Amino acid sequence: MMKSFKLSNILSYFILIAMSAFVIFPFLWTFLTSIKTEIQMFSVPPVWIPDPVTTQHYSDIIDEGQFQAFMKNSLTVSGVSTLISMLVSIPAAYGFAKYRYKFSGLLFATVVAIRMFPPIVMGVPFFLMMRQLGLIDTNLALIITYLPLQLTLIIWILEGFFRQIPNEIEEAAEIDGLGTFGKFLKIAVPLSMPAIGVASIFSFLAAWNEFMFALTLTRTDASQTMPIGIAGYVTTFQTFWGKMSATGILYIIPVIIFTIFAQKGMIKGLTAGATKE
Amino acid sequence: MKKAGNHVKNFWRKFGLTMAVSALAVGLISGCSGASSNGNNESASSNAGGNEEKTITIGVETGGPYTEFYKNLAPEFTEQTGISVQFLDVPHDNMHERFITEAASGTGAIDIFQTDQPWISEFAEMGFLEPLNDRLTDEDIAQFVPAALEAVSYNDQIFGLPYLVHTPVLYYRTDLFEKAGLTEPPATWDEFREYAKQLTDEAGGVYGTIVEGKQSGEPVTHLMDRFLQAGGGVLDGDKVVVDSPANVEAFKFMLGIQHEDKSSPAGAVGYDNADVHNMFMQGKAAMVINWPYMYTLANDPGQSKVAGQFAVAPQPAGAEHASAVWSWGFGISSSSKNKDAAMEFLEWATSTDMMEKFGKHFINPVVKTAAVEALNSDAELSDADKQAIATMSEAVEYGKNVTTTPVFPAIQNRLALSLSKIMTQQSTPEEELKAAQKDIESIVSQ
Amino acid sequence: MAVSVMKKAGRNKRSRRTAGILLTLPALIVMAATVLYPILWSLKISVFESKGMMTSGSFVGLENYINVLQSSQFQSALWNTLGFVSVTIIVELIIGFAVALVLNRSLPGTKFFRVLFTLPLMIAPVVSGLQWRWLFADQYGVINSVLSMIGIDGPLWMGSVWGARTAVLIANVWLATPFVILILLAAMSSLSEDLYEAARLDGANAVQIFTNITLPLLKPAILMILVVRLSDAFRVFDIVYILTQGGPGGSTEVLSTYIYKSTFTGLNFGQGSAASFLVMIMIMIISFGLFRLLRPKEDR
Repeated sequence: MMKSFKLSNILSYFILIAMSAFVIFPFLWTFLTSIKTEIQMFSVPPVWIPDPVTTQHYSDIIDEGQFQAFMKNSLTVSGVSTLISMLVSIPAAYGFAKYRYKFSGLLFATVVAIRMFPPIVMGVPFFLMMRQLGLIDTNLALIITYLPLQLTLIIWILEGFFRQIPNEIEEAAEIDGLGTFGKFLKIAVPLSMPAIGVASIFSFLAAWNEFMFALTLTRTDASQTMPIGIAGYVTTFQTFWGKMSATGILYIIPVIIFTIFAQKGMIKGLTAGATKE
Repeated sequence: MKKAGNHVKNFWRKFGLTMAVSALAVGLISGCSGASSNGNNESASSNAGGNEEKTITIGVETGGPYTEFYKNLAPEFTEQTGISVQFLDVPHDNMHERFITEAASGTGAIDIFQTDQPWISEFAEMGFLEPLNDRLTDEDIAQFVPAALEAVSYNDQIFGLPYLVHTPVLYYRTDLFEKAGLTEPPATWDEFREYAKQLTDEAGGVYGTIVEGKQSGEPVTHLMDRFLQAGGGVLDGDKVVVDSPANVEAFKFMLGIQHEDKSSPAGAVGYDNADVHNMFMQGKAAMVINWPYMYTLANDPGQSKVAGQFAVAPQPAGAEHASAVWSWGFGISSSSKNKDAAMEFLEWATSTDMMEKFGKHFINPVVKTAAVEALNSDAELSDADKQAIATMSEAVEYGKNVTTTPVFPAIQNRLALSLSKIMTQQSTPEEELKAAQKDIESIVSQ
Repeated sequence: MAVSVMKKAGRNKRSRRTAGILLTLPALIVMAATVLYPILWSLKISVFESKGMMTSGSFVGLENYINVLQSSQFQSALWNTLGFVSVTIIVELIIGFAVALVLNRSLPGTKFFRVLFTLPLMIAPVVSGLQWRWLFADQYGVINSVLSMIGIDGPLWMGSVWGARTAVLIANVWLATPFVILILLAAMSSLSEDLYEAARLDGANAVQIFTNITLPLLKPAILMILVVRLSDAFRVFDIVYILTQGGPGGSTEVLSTYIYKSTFTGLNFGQGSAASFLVMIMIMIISFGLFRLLRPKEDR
């Protein structure tokens, strides 16, 4: 028994390390590229250790000043749209899961189906709509556009989790005198905190990483987001790999922080849910 | 949400919201479709007034070398004319799609489009670009080298002013040529293939040349050169002539270098010009056919290992001495509300003075005869640079405009598939060109 | 006050319905206000003859749809997509399960790995596509250089059919597996420890516990993953367009790159919209099948 336990630990760490290597490798290479000179970047065969190390690409992007603007836009758009969509979609997922009404099944299916529509063609009608509303080149246009992307995802994820909450727990809560909102806030939400944490991460990232709509609905760095900024390093004749890599590295820092917090929240939620039981 | 529960109040709130949403949706649908159909009329009439405190917006490629050039000098234009210039950056790969969305919705938010050659006929046909003939005097026209304005014309109307008209040239490593005992760059296909074989040094990791084969737009521009040099092409008037013995010949030449001689790296079937210039600048290719832009890059020791060790020559001739010309320029949006101001910018951007600066900055072929002369007598330019400019400008003179059809982007897309299929040997030239002929016929007939 | 009203209401069906409507209404309103117009616009343009994004006025009914279905490019893109979707989802699930099971054991250091494994989600597919193009590059790409260090002659990633397909698959698995891991973990962490305890007392081994307890209890989570990943993989665009543009020889052309090309290169918005609806319908049909298969009968 003891021996097999050890063996499974070794296997576990082997899986973790293999996965880590796979996950980290592209980032590692991007980081190395970001501190290499142009000549070394394209070396055949590739050079691993940069010599000399240069911080030129980083100072270039900061000096150009657009980086800060892109970052600000990305954070605003992703943050605000995530906040709104969480507020609206968590109750909706709960409603779809636990409080059925005549057309709720159909409406739920419709919401999920919208997520299945390829977004490429939709860039054009969104452009026409935002132009009509005078919102082209504003953060608001992107926030509005990202709401349906996030809503469908969150509702779909959370509906499944809310559905799994045993009816007995809810009935017990009702006897304790909780109404719909009491049950929702004191039972359903705490019990589903891990899923809510995950959903908020995905929702934030859906906006953070979106490219097509951001491209169509923005015009200047007043509203262009980071993916658009990074795509701009690919030009007709030349791709600026150094600046692109440096931007890529700086671009993920805020999300790492966000994820650490979201995961903390998840774990807290877990223990809170456990004490309720 | 918290105050929910009061049924009557909720009913009215729900009712009100539902109405508001439906009204919004209906309004949007009718509003937008209405606007998109009359957007063009509305703006066509508003083309009067002076230039005081005007701002023009130019849609440009993000971070592109020419964008940067014009951005840096735009303040001079504003000083001279009082017209402010705003640049709207679009990443290169998405320019076509983004400009179409803007142009087709007729907002007039962009006054000037930076135009790449393949789009000119398409945009002109769709009515996105303003014809400029009435705004140009004969004198204006005479200042340009003939190939330059031909490149931006569609149905005998001029749809923009180019600042660059170029065609790929042959870059060759003078040091490697010397070592191999070669004195002159190859002038014919046969010589080219022979030299490439001779210059390939697999142990040293140096290839004789590179045959681009990626399924993408840029490699197709080189394929067009090969077609023309073999005496073939894509269109003869309105007739599709893709499936021709000459085009098959062109592919056999490329396949020979790639798969028989192996004087092009095996991975080249997935390369485009970016890979070519990286390989050349790393000293891994002895001869490459690439665009004039590479000249300055490859001469920059900060980026290139072959600075000062190469020269340029015209592309080797097959059955014919020919290549396709491509332009970059500025065109005025037909829905612009500042057409006069936009025209002033176009004239300034392609003025002899600017073209001289441009040629000097990039070592490029130059579109204005007077600027070519000025550069020739410029003491700051080295002889090698002058020679390069002369070679590149000469190459343009035997160039042909191949993008005369509005469906060129679709044709280019189809040929990218052919190129890739043939170069990766998924299909033979004979077989694939037959299929392409059929598909391109249906593209053209649409 | 509100709570007390709701409490009384909770007892009968009608007020449960009211609660359901109230809970879902805000989201439905937001959805309607944002996507109704774009969807209707696309629907309209898909049944008219179109020139660019303007409809030229003549109603053509299902002609665009029929043209798309008959086009050989659409068909080959469809087969490529189906192949890609099934392989990528299977690989993602296998890796996802292995990693999630390990992370769920709460060994020392798992918290760190949890954050680490979410990294790929944070990079836009556009950006990571560029990253992978760089890694897979011929000659100066690092992947083949690593392979040659261990004595393997790396394939022509971008120059051969299966090389390109594998490259797209690897890049996509890298991007999407963290989603699978996170959802599985969230689902596993809400499973009750008592069940496992009981099973262990009954002498069940790890494999039996996994197949008889974990897997059945995770069914809803798996269904959720399948549907989300199915619709995302079906619509995969950025990574393919940036890595291969559908090449070589159309071997990695997927439905979204086909739609992109026919819309913006061929300027046939009608056909692009029609293809989009066809894709949506296909995903819906497959999802419905998964639903029937995986969701318990009483919950449907």
